[in-house]
Amino acid sequence: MLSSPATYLHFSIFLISVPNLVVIAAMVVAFILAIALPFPRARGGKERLDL
Amino acid sequence: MSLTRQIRERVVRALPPERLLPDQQPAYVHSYVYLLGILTLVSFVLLVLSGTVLAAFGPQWWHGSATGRFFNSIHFWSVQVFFFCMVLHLWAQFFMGAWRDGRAMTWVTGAVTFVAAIGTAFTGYLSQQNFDSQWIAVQGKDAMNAVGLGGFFNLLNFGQMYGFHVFILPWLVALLVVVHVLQVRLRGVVKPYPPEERTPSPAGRRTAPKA
Repeated sequence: MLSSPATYLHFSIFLISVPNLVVIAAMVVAFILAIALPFPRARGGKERLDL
Repeated sequence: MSLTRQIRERVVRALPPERLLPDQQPAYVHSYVYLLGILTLVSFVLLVLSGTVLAAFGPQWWHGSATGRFFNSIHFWSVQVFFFCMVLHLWAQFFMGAWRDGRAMTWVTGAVTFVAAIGTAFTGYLSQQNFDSQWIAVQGKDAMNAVGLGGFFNLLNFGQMYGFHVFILPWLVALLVVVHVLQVRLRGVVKPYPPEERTPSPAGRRTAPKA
């Protein structure tokens, strides 16, 4: 499967392979998760607002 | 005063050790978004290490033996992670306005690193020594000729492309990364935008933020 040519999607002037589209979608999902997911706080960790 | 002492005092004054390797971070850094830069850096280190192994043994080894193919795959997937994280880091810093409060050079060095990394990846694809690299070289040479670079930068010349990929461009990227990280340490991580003050209108609609 990996060695076969990729399937392409074609809309008007836009042409993109399915693997590239999947990677872009994964990046958008990863970006949203990186913003939305709560970050675990270290026990006794130091943090300041004035740095 | 000696030149050595002058340089040392200047460096320590600009970047004292507690600033260079801080053990405290601002509270707003508690987000996965702030991990994207370090993930890019980690994948770059992995790229250099796996690339060094590939360079030591050569194309016949990385295509013809199981261990060679393993290191070839490590190198290939490292570059996927590298660009994946770098583009997300770029998005995050763009939406944060990371050039604010005197951080223009931090932004510029990051953007230039991105461009240099694209060149490094491109010459890497040309250095694979397979049909894929031949296809990319034959297609890409027309683009180089069209912009007038073909006479100097010959995509069909494996030796030149390999030299760019394993020496010239990685050093450039590494140098830019060092300058970029030092800029971050020098000025700190950019603060988030202040929350917008909005006054609700009688109809319940939100009005434009106050100037």
